Amino acid sequence: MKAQDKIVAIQPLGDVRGDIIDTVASRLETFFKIRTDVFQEQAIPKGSYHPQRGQYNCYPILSFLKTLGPDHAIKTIGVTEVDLFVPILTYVFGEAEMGGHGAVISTYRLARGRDRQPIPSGQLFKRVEKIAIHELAHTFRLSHCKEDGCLMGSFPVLSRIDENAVCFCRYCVTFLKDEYENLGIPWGQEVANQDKNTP
Amino acid sequence: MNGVGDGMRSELNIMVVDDELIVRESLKGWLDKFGYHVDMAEDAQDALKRLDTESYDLLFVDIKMPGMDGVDLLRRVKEEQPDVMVVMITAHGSIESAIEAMKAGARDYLMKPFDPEDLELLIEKLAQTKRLVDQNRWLRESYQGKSRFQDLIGQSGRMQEVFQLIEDVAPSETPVLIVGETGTGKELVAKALHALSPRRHAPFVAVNCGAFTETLLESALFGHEKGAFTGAHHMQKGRIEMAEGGTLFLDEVGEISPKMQVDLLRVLAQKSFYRLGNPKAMTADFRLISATHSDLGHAVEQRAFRQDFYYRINVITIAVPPLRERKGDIELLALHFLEGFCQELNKDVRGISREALEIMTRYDWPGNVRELENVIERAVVIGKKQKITPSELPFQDLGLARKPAVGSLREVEKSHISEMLAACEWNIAHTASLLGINRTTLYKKIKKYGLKQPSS
Repeated sequence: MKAQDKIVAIQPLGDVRGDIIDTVASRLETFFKIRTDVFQEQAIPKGSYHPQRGQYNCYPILSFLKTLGPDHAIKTIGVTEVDLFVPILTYVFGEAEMGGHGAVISTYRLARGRDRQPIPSGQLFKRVEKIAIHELAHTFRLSHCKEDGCLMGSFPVLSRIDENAVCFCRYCVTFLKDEYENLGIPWGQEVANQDKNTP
Repeated sequence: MNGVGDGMRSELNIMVVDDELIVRESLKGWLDKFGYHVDMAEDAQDALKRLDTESYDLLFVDIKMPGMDGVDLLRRVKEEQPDVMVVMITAHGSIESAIEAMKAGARDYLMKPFDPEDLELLIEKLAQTKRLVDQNRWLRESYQGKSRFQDLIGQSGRMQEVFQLIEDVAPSETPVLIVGETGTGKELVAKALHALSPRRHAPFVAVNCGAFTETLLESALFGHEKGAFTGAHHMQKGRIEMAEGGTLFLDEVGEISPKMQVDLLRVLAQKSFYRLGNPKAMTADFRLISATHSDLGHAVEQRAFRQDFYYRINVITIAVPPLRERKGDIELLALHFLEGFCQELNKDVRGISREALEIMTRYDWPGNVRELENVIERAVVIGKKQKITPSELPFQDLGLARKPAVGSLREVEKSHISEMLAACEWNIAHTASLLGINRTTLYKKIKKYGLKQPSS
């Protein structure tokens, strides 16, 4: 398989708005310079639902994602509208396997403002883009970063996501480049080279 | 390679102690993403075993566990290792257990599941505490001085080769990497390179990279402006600036985080750097000498160390031999240390008996010259005769003096450390001191060889 044949698979999980899926696919492709393919919707694995919490556990979902997608998908990112959690945390916007194959993001909390009312689509798309890039970057072995303004910072609250630009600091760019080289993915100046001034 | 993980020094060494696998793995997964080193233990006994062999900064401990519960574990930890920070976690939170845990020395108390923001704030607060503790320790150690080595000494062929290489390399500007086991005198080689170089009239600035967390090392190397970060009450020059025109010696360079490797690579390539909080580039004019006791070539293969940084610092390599490979120097070194300690301690010990020298020559010195120095100091302190005799040597009781060590170097080292630990009743500080290595190195060797403390 040639390097340019490698793709990132976008996997809708349950009913997800088409414009959200399009946003994830196009923004990931722009940022990582790896082709994205959208796959047919799959039901969320039943075992991931936690009735007491009324939320879905990310870990069974990540395991499920490993079983999907073609061989040339180097990564798979699931997109869902249900509320996600990991067992020790009350909620997450997304989760990823460090250096692994899969990541999953949820629009459930991203789609709401402080007053819990729906936010404009443009703002939602920006949040989705940032969380998708952040989680997918974890699969490229990038840790959380403490550099000001880096999208690999930790984002436990929505306000911090909104304030951050779509950019990596120079360290994270370097580490991403290392991982591209390791995986045999072509690297160019335009990878992760985004507008640093526009949150 | 990423963040601060992958075997490099992590800002926090953490252990999660919980009987529920899903909780352990989930918390570890979250902490991993911050680049922290995280181990897991399924109960208090497992945690105590790990604490014997590994050094931790922070423990997350579940209160309700089968066998010894979390509060009892907390008490044991506080008795044995009071510096370790402990955060209690439980799904069965109650005011009573929280108060009990806090009274017993817990740093904080969390109920499962945690709010992500609360957890992050707590970790940041604890990391800040650790940074302050480390800074205090470093300042104390700097004040007390690190080594009593006076000069490089050796008449063996191996050391003569080292001396020749130092003379050949010193006049150039080429970066040098000094490799050798702990206690072999790598810093002395660096100082000799500086002393023989055209930069000898400018400062020789040494930085022990293994003694700093990433954040502290950044500030120590690059300096900072007043207000650059919380606690930066005044401007401080960094070591790079202090080394202007001279030599910058990075000891334990293998401990530098990937981020710092990127920064230093840039300094070396561009010959400039930025003080933290100051956008103005400053000129960097220093010769770089680095040292390590680890196999950096292997670390590069394992992607735990940047290849480009490795090539940049490793233009010329000087390998300092371990003492066991230059046993002919033992007597010379021992007499040199004897003279120094007699003056320092005002004692009149005039020599070393033939029997004692024989034993010292048969011994393999895993702690190298530093261990020899400590052995001589001990002998001078406890000795009441005019000569050091076998009875003043610490390896007499271990039987090492009576028979030569047999087996590979690895086996000999393992066996020796094991016997020293037994002789010191597993007192880590005492054993490390006798071996002439620091506690961290001893912990690493205990882990490496899988040594276990016999249950009493």
